[in-house]
Amino acid sequence: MNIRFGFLTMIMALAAIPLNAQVYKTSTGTVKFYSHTTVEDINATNSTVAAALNTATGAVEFSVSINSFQFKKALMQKHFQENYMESGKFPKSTFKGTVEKNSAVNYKKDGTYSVNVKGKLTIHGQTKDVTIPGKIIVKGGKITLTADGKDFKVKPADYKIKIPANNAAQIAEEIEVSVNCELSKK
Amino acid sequence: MRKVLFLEISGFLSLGITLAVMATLLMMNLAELNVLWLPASGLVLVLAYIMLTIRYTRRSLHKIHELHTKGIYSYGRLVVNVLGVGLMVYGIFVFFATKDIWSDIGLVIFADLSFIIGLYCLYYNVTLSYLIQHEHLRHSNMTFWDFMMIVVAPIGLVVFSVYMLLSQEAITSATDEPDFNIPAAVVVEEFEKNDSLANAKYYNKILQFGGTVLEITGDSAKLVKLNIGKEDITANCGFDKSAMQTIQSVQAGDSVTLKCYCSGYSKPEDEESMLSEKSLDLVRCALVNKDKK
Repeated sequence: MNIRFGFLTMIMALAAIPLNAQVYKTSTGTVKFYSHTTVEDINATNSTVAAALNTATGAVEFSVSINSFQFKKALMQKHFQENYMESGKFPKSTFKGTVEKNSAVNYKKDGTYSVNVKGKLTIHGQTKDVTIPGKIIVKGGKITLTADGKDFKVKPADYKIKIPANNAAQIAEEIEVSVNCELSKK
Repeated sequence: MRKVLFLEISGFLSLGITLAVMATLLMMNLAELNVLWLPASGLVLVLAYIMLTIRYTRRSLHKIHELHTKGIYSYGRLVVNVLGVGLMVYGIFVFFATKDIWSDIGLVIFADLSFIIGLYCLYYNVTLSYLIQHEHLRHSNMTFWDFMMIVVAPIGLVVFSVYMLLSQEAITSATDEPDFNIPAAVVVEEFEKNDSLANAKYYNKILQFGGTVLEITGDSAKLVKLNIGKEDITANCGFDKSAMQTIQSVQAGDSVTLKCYCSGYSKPEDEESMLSEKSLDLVRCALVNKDKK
Protein backbone atom coordinates (compact mmCIF):
# COMPACT_ATOMS: atom_id res chain seq x y z
CA MET A 1 0.00 0.00 0.00
CA ASN A 2 2.75 2.33 1.06
CA ILE A 3 4.79 1.53 -2.04
CA ARG A 4 1.74 2.18 -4.24
CA PHE A 5 1.05 5.47 -2.50
CA GLY A 6 4.70 6.51 -2.85
CA PHE A 7 4.66 5.63 -6.54
CA LEU A 8 1.45 7.61 -7.08
CA THR A 9 2.91 10.62 -5.27
CA MET A 10 6.05 10.42 -7.39
CA ILE A 11 4.00 10.31 -10.62
CA MET A 12 1.91 13.28 -9.48
CA ALA A 13 4.99 15.23 -8.51
CA LEU A 14 6.61 14.52 -11.86
CA ALA A 15 3.43 15.52 -13.69
CA ALA A 16 3.27 18.77 -11.75
CA ILE A 17 6.83 19.86 -12.60
CA PRO A 18 6.32 20.68 -16.29
CA LEU A 19 2.96 22.35 -15.57
CA ASN A 20 4.50 24.67 -12.96
CA ALA A 21 7.43 25.37 -15.20
CA GLN A 22 5.08 26.70 -17.87
CA VAL A 23 3.68 29.43 -15.63
CA TYR A 24 5.32 32.84 -15.86
CA LYS A 25 4.45 35.48 -13.29
CA THR A 26 5.09 38.99 -12.02
CA SER A 27 3.87 41.16 -9.17
CA THR A 28 5.37 44.33 -10.58
CA GLY A 29 3.73 44.74 -13.96
CA THR A 30 2.69 48.17 -15.19
CA VAL A 31 -0.73 49.35 -16.33
CA LYS A 32 -1.18 52.96 -17.39
CA PHE A 33 -4.20 54.84 -18.50
CA TYR A 34 -4.57 58.00 -20.43
CA SER A 35 -7.62 60.16 -20.93
CA HIS A 36 -7.36 62.90 -23.51
CA THR A 37 -9.84 65.75 -23.95
CA THR A 38 -9.42 69.32 -25.12
CA VAL A 39 -9.96 70.47 -21.53
CA GLU A 40 -7.54 68.18 -19.71
CA ASP A 41 -5.19 65.22 -20.14
CA ILE A 42 -5.20 62.71 -17.29
CA ASN A 43 -2.51 60.07 -16.72
CA ALA A 44 -2.18 57.43 -14.04
CA THR A 45 0.26 54.58 -13.50
CA ASN A 46 0.08 51.37 -11.51
CA SER A 47 3.41 49.55 -11.19
CA THR A 48 2.37 46.73 -8.88
CA VAL A 49 0.13 44.74 -11.18
CA ALA A 50 0.04 40.96 -10.67
CA ALA A 51 0.00 38.95 -13.89
CA ALA A 52 0.48 35.32 -14.93
CA LEU A 53 0.70 33.39 -18.19
CA ASN A 54 0.61 29.66 -18.78
CA THR A 55 2.62 29.16 -21.96
CA ALA A 56 1.21 25.65 -22.53
CA THR A 57 -2.45 26.65 -22.49
CA GLY A 58 -2.20 30.37 -23.27
CA ALA A 59 -4.17 31.21 -20.12
CA VAL A 60 -3.58 34.78 -18.95
CA GLU A 61 -4.55 36.44 -15.67
CA PHE A 62 -4.22 40.00 -14.42
CA SER A 63 -5.11 41.48 -11.06
CA VAL A 64 -4.95 45.28 -10.73
CA SER A 65 -5.36 47.07 -7.42
CA ILE A 66 -7.29 50.30 -8.04
CA ASN A 67 -5.76 52.00 -5.01
CA SER A 68 -2.30 51.56 -6.55
CA PHE A 69 -2.97 53.93 -9.47
CA GLN A 70 -0.75 56.94 -8.92
CA PHE A 71 -1.87 60.31 -10.31
CA LYS A 72 -0.02 63.58 -10.41
CA LYS A 73 -2.69 65.63 -8.67
CA ALA A 74 -4.29 64.66 -5.36
CA LEU A 75 -7.76 65.82 -6.37
CA MET A 76 -7.79 63.69 -9.54
CA GLN A 77 -6.66 60.63 -7.58
CA LYS A 78 -9.36 61.12 -4.99
CA HIS A 79 -12.12 61.55 -7.57
CA PHE A 80 -10.92 58.51 -9.51
CA GLN A 81 -10.80 56.25 -6.47
CA GLU A 82 -13.76 57.44 -4.46
CA ASN A 83 -16.28 58.86 -6.94
CA TYR A 84 -15.71 56.98 -10.18
CA MET A 85 -14.13 53.59 -9.39
CA GLU A 86 -15.52 53.33 -5.82
CA SER A 87 -12.34 51.51 -4.90
CA GLY A 88 -13.47 50.81 -1.32
CA LYS A 89 -16.31 48.71 -2.79
CA PHE A 90 -14.48 47.35 -5.84
CA PRO A 91 -10.79 47.30 -4.83
CA LYS A 92 -9.56 45.24 -7.81
CA SER A 93 -9.96 45.00 -11.56
CA THR A 94 -9.21 41.61 -13.07
CA PHE A 95 -8.77 40.02 -16.45
CA LYS A 96 -8.94 36.30 -17.18
CA GLY A 97 -8.46 35.14 -20.73
CA THR A 98 -6.64 33.05 -23.28
CA VAL A 99 -4.12 33.88 -25.97
CA GLU A 100 -5.80 33.12 -29.31
CA LYS A 101 -3.71 30.84 -31.55
CA ASN A 102 -1.32 30.24 -28.66
CA SER A 103 0.41 27.46 -30.59
CA ALA A 104 1.66 30.07 -33.09
CA VAL A 105 3.81 31.63 -30.35
CA ASN A 106 7.18 29.97 -29.86
CA TYR A 107 7.95 30.64 -26.21
CA LYS A 108 11.33 28.96 -26.51
CA LYS A 109 12.67 31.32 -29.14
CA ASP A 110 13.30 35.05 -28.76
CA GLY A 111 10.89 37.09 -30.84
CA THR A 112 7.88 39.41 -30.90
CA TYR A 113 4.44 38.00 -31.63
CA SER A 114 1.28 39.99 -32.27
CA VAL A 115 -1.63 38.26 -30.57
CA ASN A 116 -5.23 38.72 -29.55
CA VAL A 117 -6.15 37.84 -26.00
CA LYS A 118 -9.81 37.01 -25.48
CA GLY A 119 -11.38 36.92 -22.06
CA LYS A 120 -13.40 38.52 -19.30
CA LEU A 121 -12.50 41.97 -18.04
CA THR A 122 -13.93 43.01 -14.66
CA ILE A 123 -13.90 46.67 -13.72
CA HIS A 124 -16.07 48.38 -11.09
CA GLY A 125 -17.76 45.05 -10.38
CA GLN A 126 -18.94 44.68 -14.00
CA THR A 127 -17.67 41.87 -16.24
CA LYS A 128 -17.47 42.15 -20.03
CA ASP A 129 -16.17 39.86 -22.75
CA VAL A 130 -13.32 41.61 -24.54
CA THR A 131 -10.64 40.88 -27.10
CA ILE A 132 -7.42 42.78 -26.48
CA PRO A 133 -4.84 43.12 -29.23
CA GLY A 134 -1.33 42.96 -27.83
CA LYS A 135 2.17 41.63 -28.19
CA ILE A 136 4.09 38.80 -26.57
CA ILE A 137 7.80 39.48 -26.48
CA VAL A 138 10.07 36.53 -25.67
CA LYS A 139 13.58 37.56 -24.72
CA GLY A 140 16.28 35.95 -22.60
CA GLY A 141 13.97 33.50 -20.84
CA LYS A 142 11.49 36.22 -19.92
CA ILE A 143 8.13 36.96 -21.47
CA THR A 144 6.73 40.47 -21.76
CA LEU A 145 3.02 41.04 -22.33
CA THR A 146 2.18 44.42 -23.80
CA ALA A 147 -0.92 46.22 -25.02
CA ASP A 148 -0.91 49.66 -26.59
CA GLY A 149 -3.40 52.27 -25.42
CA LYS A 150 -4.23 53.06 -29.07
CA ASP A 151 -5.55 49.48 -29.47
CA PHE A 152 -6.94 48.80 -25.99
CA LYS A 153 -9.64 51.27 -25.05
CA VAL A 154 -12.16 51.06 -22.23
CA LYS A 155 -15.44 52.96 -22.10
CA PRO A 156 -16.30 53.90 -18.47
CA ALA A 157 -20.02 53.75 -19.36
CA ASP A 158 -19.72 50.03 -20.26
CA TYR A 159 -18.68 49.29 -16.68
CA LYS A 160 -21.32 51.50 -15.05
CA ILE A 161 -18.74 54.07 -14.00
CA LYS A 162 -20.81 57.19 -13.49
CA ILE A 163 -19.25 60.42 -14.62
CA PRO A 164 -21.51 63.43 -14.06
CA ALA A 165 -22.57 65.20 -17.27
CA ASN A 166 -20.73 68.35 -16.23
CA ASN A 167 -17.45 66.47 -15.79
CA ALA A 168 -17.79 64.73 -19.13
CA ALA A 169 -15.78 67.50 -20.80
CA GLN A 170 -12.74 66.61 -18.67
CA ILE A 171 -12.86 62.83 -19.06
CA ALA A 172 -12.60 61.04 -22.40
CA GLU A 173 -15.42 58.72 -23.51
CA GLU A 174 -12.80 56.08 -24.17
CA ILE A 175 -9.83 55.64 -21.85
CA GLU A 176 -6.62 54.34 -23.42
CA VAL A 177 -5.11 51.53 -21.34
CA SER A 178 -1.54 50.37 -21.92
CA VAL A 179 -0.04 47.26 -20.37
CA ASN A 180 3.58 46.24 -19.89
CA CYS A 181 4.27 43.18 -17.73
CA GLU A 182 7.60 41.35 -17.74
CA LEU A 183 6.98 37.81 -16.52
CA SER A 184 9.55 35.32 -15.36
CA LYS A 185 9.33 31.61 -14.75
CA LYS A 186 7.98 30.61 -11.33
CA MET B 1 -19.43 105.58 -2.79
CA ARG B 2 -21.96 105.95 0.04
CA LYS B 3 -21.47 103.25 2.62
CA VAL B 4 -25.12 102.29 2.72
CA LEU B 5 -25.20 101.78 -1.05
CA PHE B 6 -21.97 99.82 -0.84
CA LEU B 7 -23.47 97.59 1.82
CA GLU B 8 -26.49 96.88 -0.36
CA ILE B 9 -24.63 96.25 -3.60
CA SER B 10 -21.74 94.24 -2.15
CA GLY B 11 -24.15 92.23 0.00
CA PHE B 12 -26.35 91.14 -2.87
CA LEU B 13 -23.48 90.68 -5.28
CA SER B 14 -21.43 88.50 -2.94
CA LEU B 15 -24.40 86.45 -1.84
CA GLY B 16 -25.39 85.98 -5.48
CA ILE B 17 -21.87 84.77 -6.30
CA THR B 18 -21.85 82.44 -3.29
CA LEU B 19 -25.21 80.94 -4.37
CA ALA B 20 -23.93 80.52 -7.95
CA VAL B 21 -20.75 78.80 -6.69
CA MET B 22 -22.76 76.43 -4.50
CA ALA B 23 -25.19 75.60 -7.32
CA THR B 24 -22.31 74.96 -9.75
CA LEU B 25 -20.50 72.72 -7.27
CA LEU B 26 -23.66 70.70 -6.69
CA MET B 27 -24.30 70.41 -10.43
CA MET B 28 -20.72 69.32 -11.08
CA ASN B 29 -21.00 66.76 -8.32
CA LEU B 30 -17.99 68.24 -6.53
CA ALA B 31 -19.84 68.61 -3.25
CA GLU B 32 -22.73 66.86 -1.62
CA LEU B 33 -25.83 68.73 -0.48
CA ASN B 34 -25.32 67.47 3.06
CA VAL B 35 -21.90 69.17 3.12
CA LEU B 36 -23.41 72.49 2.10
CA TRP B 37 -26.45 72.59 4.36
CA LEU B 38 -24.83 74.61 7.14
CA PRO B 39 -23.40 77.41 4.97
CA ALA B 40 -26.64 77.35 2.94
CA SER B 41 -28.82 77.93 5.98
CA GLY B 42 -26.41 80.66 7.15
CA LEU B 43 -26.77 82.21 3.71
CA VAL B 44 -30.57 82.27 3.88
CA LEU B 45 -30.41 83.89 7.33
CA VAL B 46 -27.97 86.57 6.19
CA LEU B 47 -30.05 87.24 3.09
CA ALA B 48 -33.21 87.66 5.15
CA TYR B 49 -31.35 89.91 7.57
CA ILE B 50 -30.03 92.18 4.82
CA MET B 51 -33.42 92.38 3.11
CA LEU B 52 -34.99 93.51 6.38
CA THR B 53 -32.23 96.00 7.07
CA ILE B 54 -32.43 97.54 3.61
CA ARG B 55 -36.18 97.79 3.82
CA TYR B 56 -35.95 99.78 7.04
CA THR B 57 -32.95 101.77 5.86
CA ARG B 58 -35.01 103.03 2.95
CA ARG B 59 -37.94 103.94 5.20
CA SER B 60 -36.50 106.06 7.95
CA LEU B 61 -33.43 106.32 10.08
CA HIS B 62 -35.58 107.04 13.10
CA LYS B 63 -37.46 103.80 12.60
CA ILE B 64 -34.23 101.80 12.43
CA HIS B 65 -32.98 103.40 15.59
CA GLU B 66 -36.21 102.52 17.32
CA LEU B 67 -36.11 98.93 16.11
CA HIS B 68 -32.44 98.67 16.86
CA THR B 69 -32.91 99.51 20.53
CA LYS B 70 -36.38 98.13 21.25
CA GLY B 71 -37.81 95.79 18.72
CA ILE B 72 -37.21 92.23 17.63
CA TYR B 73 -34.32 93.53 15.57
CA SER B 74 -32.19 93.84 18.71
CA TYR B 75 -32.57 90.09 19.34
CA GLY B 76 -31.86 89.48 15.66
CA ARG B 77 -28.59 91.37 16.04
CA LEU B 78 -27.53 89.10 18.87
CA VAL B 79 -28.41 85.96 16.88
CA VAL B 80 -26.56 87.19 13.81
CA ASN B 81 -23.50 88.16 15.88
CA VAL B 82 -23.34 84.73 17.51
CA LEU B 83 -23.93 83.05 14.14
CA GLY B 84 -21.21 85.19 12.54
CA VAL B 85 -18.58 84.40 15.16
CA GLY B 86 -19.63 80.74 15.23
CA LEU B 87 -19.38 80.30 11.46
CA MET B 88 -15.98 82.03 11.27
CA VAL B 89 -14.52 80.01 14.15
CA TYR B 90 -15.97 76.81 12.68
CA GLY B 91 -14.48 77.60 9.26
CA ILE B 92 -11.04 78.16 10.78
CA PHE B 93 -11.39 75.03 12.94
CA VAL B 94 -12.19 72.86 9.90
CA PHE B 95 -9.13 74.23 8.08
CA PHE B 96 -6.70 73.55 10.89
CA ALA B 97 -8.20 70.43 12.44
CA THR B 98 -8.63 68.40 9.25
CA LYS B 99 -5.78 66.20 8.15
CA ASP B 100 -5.07 66.40 4.45
CA ILE B 101 -7.81 68.99 3.85
CA TRP B 102 -6.46 70.03 0.43
CA SER B 103 -7.49 66.75 -1.12
CA ASP B 104 -11.11 67.16 -0.03
CA ILE B 105 -12.88 69.75 -2.17
CA GLY B 106 -16.21 69.42 -0.34
CA LEU B 107 -14.62 70.21 3.00
CA VAL B 108 -12.66 73.19 1.63
CA ILE B 109 -15.87 74.68 0.18
CA PHE B 110 -17.59 74.04 3.48
CA ALA B 111 -14.84 75.81 5.46
CA ASP B 112 -14.60 78.70 2.96
CA LEU B 113 -18.34 79.36 2.89
CA SER B 114 -18.66 79.09 6.67
CA PHE B 115 -15.89 81.63 7.14
CA ILE B 116 -17.12 84.07 4.46
CA ILE B 117 -20.75 84.00 5.55
CA GLY B 118 -19.68 84.42 9.17
CA LEU B 119 -17.57 87.42 8.12
CA TYR B 120 -20.52 88.97 6.29
CA CYS B 121 -22.84 88.46 9.25
CA LEU B 122 -20.44 90.27 11.55
CA TYR B 123 -19.53 92.99 9.09
CA TYR B 124 -23.10 93.98 8.28
CA ASN B 125 -24.13 93.92 11.87
CA VAL B 126 -21.22 95.87 13.28
CA THR B 127 -21.22 98.44 10.46
CA LEU B 128 -24.96 99.02 10.57
CA SER B 129 -24.96 99.30 14.35
CA TYR B 130 -22.19 101.88 14.16
CA LEU B 131 -23.93 103.87 11.43
CA ILE B 132 -27.27 103.87 13.22
CA GLN B 133 -25.79 104.92 16.51
CA HIS B 134 -23.90 107.79 14.92
CA GLU B 135 -26.78 108.72 12.61
CA HIS B 136 -24.44 108.91 9.67
CA LEU B 137 -26.18 106.29 7.67
CA ARG B 138 -26.92 108.26 4.54
CA HIS B 139 -23.71 110.29 4.48
CA SER B 140 -20.86 107.93 5.37
CA ASN B 141 -18.55 106.83 2.60
CA MET B 142 -17.00 103.40 2.32
CA THR B 143 -13.43 103.10 3.45
CA PHE B 144 -10.42 101.10 2.37
CA TRP B 145 -11.05 98.64 5.22
CA ASP B 146 -14.68 98.11 4.16
CA PHE B 147 -13.45 97.18 0.73
CA MET B 148 -10.78 94.88 2.16
CA MET B 149 -13.19 93.11 4.51
CA ILE B 150 -16.10 92.56 2.20
CA VAL B 151 -14.46 92.13 -1.21
CA VAL B 152 -10.73 91.39 -1.04
CA ALA B 153 -10.75 88.97 1.93
CA PRO B 154 -13.47 86.60 0.60
CA ILE B 155 -12.17 86.64 -2.99
CA GLY B 156 -8.62 86.15 -1.70
CA LEU B 157 -9.69 83.17 0.41
CA VAL B 158 -11.53 81.56 -2.54
CA VAL B 159 -8.62 82.14 -4.96
CA PHE B 160 -6.15 80.72 -2.39
CA SER B 161 -8.36 77.65 -1.81
CA VAL B 162 -8.81 76.92 -5.53
CA TYR B 163 -5.05 77.29 -6.06
CA MET B 164 -4.26 74.94 -3.17
CA LEU B 165 -6.84 72.36 -4.32
CA LEU B 166 -5.61 72.27 -7.91
CA SER B 167 -1.90 72.39 -7.15
CA GLN B 168 -1.83 69.70 -4.47
CA GLU B 169 0.38 66.83 -5.58
CA ALA B 170 -0.93 63.32 -4.95
CA ILE B 171 0.64 61.52 -1.97
CA THR B 172 3.33 59.06 -3.04
CA SER B 173 4.30 57.71 0.37
CA ALA B 174 2.71 57.64 3.82
CA THR B 175 4.07 60.63 5.73
CA ASP B 176 1.30 61.22 8.26
CA GLU B 177 1.02 59.50 11.63
CA PRO B 178 -0.28 55.93 11.26
CA ASP B 179 -3.98 55.27 11.86
CA PHE B 180 -3.10 51.79 13.17
CA ASN B 181 0.18 50.61 14.72
CA ILE B 182 -0.60 46.93 14.47
CA PRO B 183 1.02 43.58 13.54
CA ALA B 184 0.15 42.80 9.91
CA ALA B 185 -0.79 39.25 10.96
CA VAL B 186 -3.62 40.65 13.09
CA VAL B 187 -4.93 42.65 10.13
CA VAL B 188 -4.77 39.52 7.94
CA GLU B 189 -6.75 37.55 10.55
CA GLU B 190 -9.45 40.22 10.54
CA PHE B 191 -9.65 40.10 6.74
CA GLU B 192 -9.90 36.30 6.80
CA LYS B 193 -12.64 36.45 9.40
CA ASN B 194 -14.78 39.13 7.72
CA ASP B 195 -13.50 40.70 4.51
CA SER B 196 -16.02 43.54 4.18
CA LEU B 197 -15.79 44.53 7.85
CA ALA B 198 -11.99 44.60 7.75
CA ASN B 199 -12.07 46.49 4.45
CA ALA B 200 -14.30 49.17 5.96
CA LYS B 201 -11.91 49.45 8.91
CA TYR B 202 -8.52 49.43 7.17
CA TYR B 203 -8.97 50.35 3.49
CA ASN B 204 -6.87 53.42 2.59
CA LYS B 205 -5.82 53.86 6.22
CA ILE B 206 -2.16 54.13 7.21
CA LEU B 207 -0.86 50.96 8.89
CA GLN B 208 2.51 50.72 10.64
CA PHE B 209 3.82 47.19 11.02
CA GLY B 210 6.97 45.08 10.98
CA GLY B 211 8.22 42.06 9.06
CA THR B 212 11.19 40.34 7.45
CA VAL B 213 11.98 41.10 3.83
CA LEU B 214 11.52 38.04 1.57
CA GLU B 215 12.21 39.68 -1.78
CA ILE B 216 12.33 43.04 -3.51
CA THR B 217 11.23 43.24 -7.14
CA GLY B 218 10.40 45.84 -9.76
CA ASP B 219 12.16 48.49 -11.82
CA SER B 220 9.90 51.53 -12.18
CA ALA B 221 8.55 51.01 -8.66
CA LYS B 222 9.44 48.47 -5.98
CA LEU B 223 7.38 45.74 -4.42
CA VAL B 224 8.71 44.52 -1.09
CA LYS B 225 7.35 41.16 0.07
CA LEU B 226 7.40 40.75 3.83
CA ASN B 227 7.15 37.68 5.99
CA ILE B 228 4.64 38.70 8.66
CA GLY B 229 4.66 35.46 10.62
CA LYS B 230 1.74 33.87 8.77
CA GLU B 231 2.29 30.75 6.74
CA ASP B 232 1.75 31.30 2.99
CA ILE B 233 0.58 34.88 3.48
CA THR B 234 2.83 37.84 2.76
CA ALA B 235 2.49 41.58 3.01
CA ASN B 236 3.02 43.00 -0.49
CA CYS B 237 4.26 46.53 0.01
CA GLY B 238 4.42 48.88 -2.97
CA PHE B 239 6.94 51.73 -2.98
CA ASP B 240 6.42 54.56 -5.46
CA LYS B 241 9.40 55.40 -7.67
CA SER B 242 9.82 58.68 -5.74
CA ALA B 243 10.40 56.65 -2.54
CA MET B 244 12.63 53.98 -4.08
CA GLN B 245 15.83 55.61 -2.82
CA THR B 246 14.76 55.17 0.78
CA ILE B 247 14.83 51.38 0.45
CA GLN B 248 17.96 51.08 -1.66
CA SER B 249 19.93 49.66 1.24
CA VAL B 250 17.22 47.19 2.24
CA GLN B 251 17.96 43.55 1.39
CA ALA B 252 16.21 40.21 1.70
CA GLY B 253 16.47 39.04 5.31
CA ASP B 254 16.36 42.52 6.86
CA SER B 255 13.79 43.25 9.53
CA VAL B 256 11.90 46.39 8.68
CA THR B 257 9.11 48.57 10.01
CA LEU B 258 6.98 50.15 7.30
CA LYS B 259 4.17 52.66 7.10
CA CYS B 260 1.77 52.10 4.18
CA TYR B 261 -1.77 52.74 2.95
CA CYS B 262 -3.81 49.54 3.14
CA SER B 263 -5.17 48.41 -0.21
CA GLY B 264 -7.05 45.30 0.89
CA TYR B 265 -6.46 41.58 1.05
CA SER B 266 -5.92 39.30 -1.96
CA LYS B 267 -6.68 35.63 -2.21
CA PRO B 268 -7.11 33.44 -5.29
CA GLU B 269 -10.57 33.82 -6.87
CA ASP B 270 -10.79 30.08 -7.51
CA GLU B 271 -8.66 26.97 -7.14
CA GLU B 272 -7.53 27.11 -10.76
CA SER B 273 -6.24 30.67 -10.50
CA MET B 274 -2.58 31.09 -11.38
CA LEU B 275 -2.41 34.13 -9.07
CA SER B 276 -2.59 31.84 -6.08
CA GLU B 277 -0.83 33.96 -3.48
CA LYS B 278 -2.57 35.26 -0.43
CA SER B 279 -1.37 38.72 0.48
CA LEU B 280 -2.12 41.83 2.45
CA ASP B 281 -1.77 44.55 -0.17
CA LEU B 282 -0.23 47.86 0.76
CA VAL B 283 0.67 50.91 -1.30
CA ARG B 284 2.52 54.23 -0.98
CA CYS B 285 4.84 52.72 1.61
CA ALA B 286 7.55 54.50 3.58
CA LEU B 287 10.42 52.94 5.51
CA VAL B 288 10.22 53.72 9.23
CA ASN B 289 12.97 51.55 10.62
CA LYS B 290 15.44 48.90 9.51
CA ASP B 291 17.49 46.29 11.42
CA LYS B 292 20.19 44.42 9.53
CA LYS B 293 19.81 40.67 9.33
